[in-house]
Amino acid sequence: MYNYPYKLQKLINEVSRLPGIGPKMAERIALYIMKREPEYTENFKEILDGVKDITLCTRCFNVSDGNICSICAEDNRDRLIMCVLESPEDVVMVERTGKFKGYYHILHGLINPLNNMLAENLRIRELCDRVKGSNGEIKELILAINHTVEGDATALYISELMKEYAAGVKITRLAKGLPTGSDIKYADEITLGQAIVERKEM
Amino acid sequence: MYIKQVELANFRSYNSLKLKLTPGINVFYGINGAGKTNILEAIYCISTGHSFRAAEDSILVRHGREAMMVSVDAVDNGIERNFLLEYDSKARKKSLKVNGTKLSRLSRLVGMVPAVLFSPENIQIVKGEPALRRRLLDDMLSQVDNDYFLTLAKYNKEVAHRNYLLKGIKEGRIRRDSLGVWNTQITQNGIRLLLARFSAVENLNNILQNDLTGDKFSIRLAYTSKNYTVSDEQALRESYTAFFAAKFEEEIARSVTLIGPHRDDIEISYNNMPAKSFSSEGQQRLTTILIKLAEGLLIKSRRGVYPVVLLDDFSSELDEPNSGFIGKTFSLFKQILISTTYKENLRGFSPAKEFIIRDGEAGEMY
Ligand SMILES: Nc1ncnc2c1ncn2[C@@H]1O[C@H](COP(=O)(O)OP(=O)(O)OP(=O)(O)O)[C@@H](O)[C@H]1O
Ligand SMILES: [Mg+2]
Ligand SMILES: [Zn+2]
Repeated sequence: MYNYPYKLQKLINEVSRLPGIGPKMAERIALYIMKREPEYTENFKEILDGVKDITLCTRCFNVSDGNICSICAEDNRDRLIMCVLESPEDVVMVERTGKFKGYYHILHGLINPLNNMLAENLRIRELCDRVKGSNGEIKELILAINHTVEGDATALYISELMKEYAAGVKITRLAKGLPTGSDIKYADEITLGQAIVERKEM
Repeated sequence: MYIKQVELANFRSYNSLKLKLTPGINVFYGINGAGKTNILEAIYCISTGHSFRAAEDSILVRHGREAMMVSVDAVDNGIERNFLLEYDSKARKKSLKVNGTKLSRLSRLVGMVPAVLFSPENIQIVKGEPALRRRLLDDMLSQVDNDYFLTLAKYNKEVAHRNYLLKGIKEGRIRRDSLGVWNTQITQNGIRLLLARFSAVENLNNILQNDLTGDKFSIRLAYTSKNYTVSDEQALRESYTAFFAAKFEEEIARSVTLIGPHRDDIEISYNNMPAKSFSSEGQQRLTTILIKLAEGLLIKSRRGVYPVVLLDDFSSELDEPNSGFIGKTFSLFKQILISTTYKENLRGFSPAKEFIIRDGEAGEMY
């Protein structure tokens, strides 16, 4: 049976291993890359080569070009408040809201025993050290993590740990609720129910 | 709520079928294999999103066809809504539309067309394993209480995480202090489920006595657990704490979470004796049907909507007085759909509408 030339097959195979890309799409992408001018692949190669220089910030564990990420390098952020996130892509989301001006801490996962993720595999120890090391400067941790079984367990773990190591720190969690712009009429009763339970005083 | 019309296409033995039903008692007669249960099954699918007897959705599709659909017009308080369930076995896609609008998740269907089903194998609720009795409460509470439904899903996952940790501790892969948060979580969510179950059992007992059995005989449920009694939140918390302190080693050795709603049982008694061991076949059947009817009345009182009562293979093994006794309780409901082989099986009450099912068709009897 006919198949593509070997090197093209290899490219298709590699592309299809990227998350969210099926075999048909992989074929399209591979053929697209193949048809582009040599400068394009040269440039692509350089970009891929640069990936090894991307590391984790030694302070907050966000992705970074160097030792310290661009956010931690900003001096004028609010030092009293810290936002704890599951993964680096969440930083971009929170930054885009423009509502948070403090520093971050990235856990790189949630406690999930069935996936062999335990507290010690996450950057929780480091979070603890940061809070303790701030000598009381950090007043509040916002746990911006999902309201799932694993998110709940992680949030609970962190808040218990803080009681032990940094008792004065206030711990908050994002409210579950209605998406903005959503009409109450069209919200499902689960979301609406939670929004009612977690209502805020005005 | 009552069902005004059912339409089937390529569902089980039916090529296409359209039935107009009425409030009150609707009966389907037919010989074995005629397709009576198939009709009740279709309505159950609209109520819950899945069958009560098919392990896979593809079984519901008529042999040689690719897709099936069930369409139900249900009337609640004078308001008529259409529910359309479609399953495509090639694409393995199931979808549900309410008045033409697709539900984002099938789980959002829960409780929209409330129904209670009695089928002959339900007698296992009385005779069989505790898991079936827990399921009775879980299914019932999920229909009336969204919070229960969500908490149950979370709880089951938490127990799975915790069991996995116990196994890891036993094998020496995991530190013994890793359980902390999971103990807290299963305690909190477990107690939420327990309190809901306790009050449901109390409710069912009251309904059984006040609305169904009267003083003629008694059917009672008793919630039982090895680790706590029916009590309040504070006492339950203390039981959990004491359990974790005393039974940790046993849990590790067995790698199973041994406390909580997933381990409990509901003892069912008939005239003050355990129905499982002492009651006759007919008494057990009567008990099961009445518990199901009590479930229906509980749904009515909590949701304010009459569930549709589905009685499959009614009256096999019920004597005339018992069949008549149950017949009298039908007036407590808005709509009852009954399947049975022969008209003679129904004594002591009169149907509003009757159908004869034969060769994948239904004929109305006048
Ligand atoms: N996917 C399917 N395609 C075609 N026919 C099917 C399918 N599934 C079941 N059947 C047929 O449906 C019939 C069973 O229907 P059903 O269970 O409703 O019978 P019933 O009238 O309830 O009988 P009984 O009195 O024995 O309970 C059988 O004849 C079976 O062959
Ligand atoms: Mg049948
Ligand atoms: Zn940083």
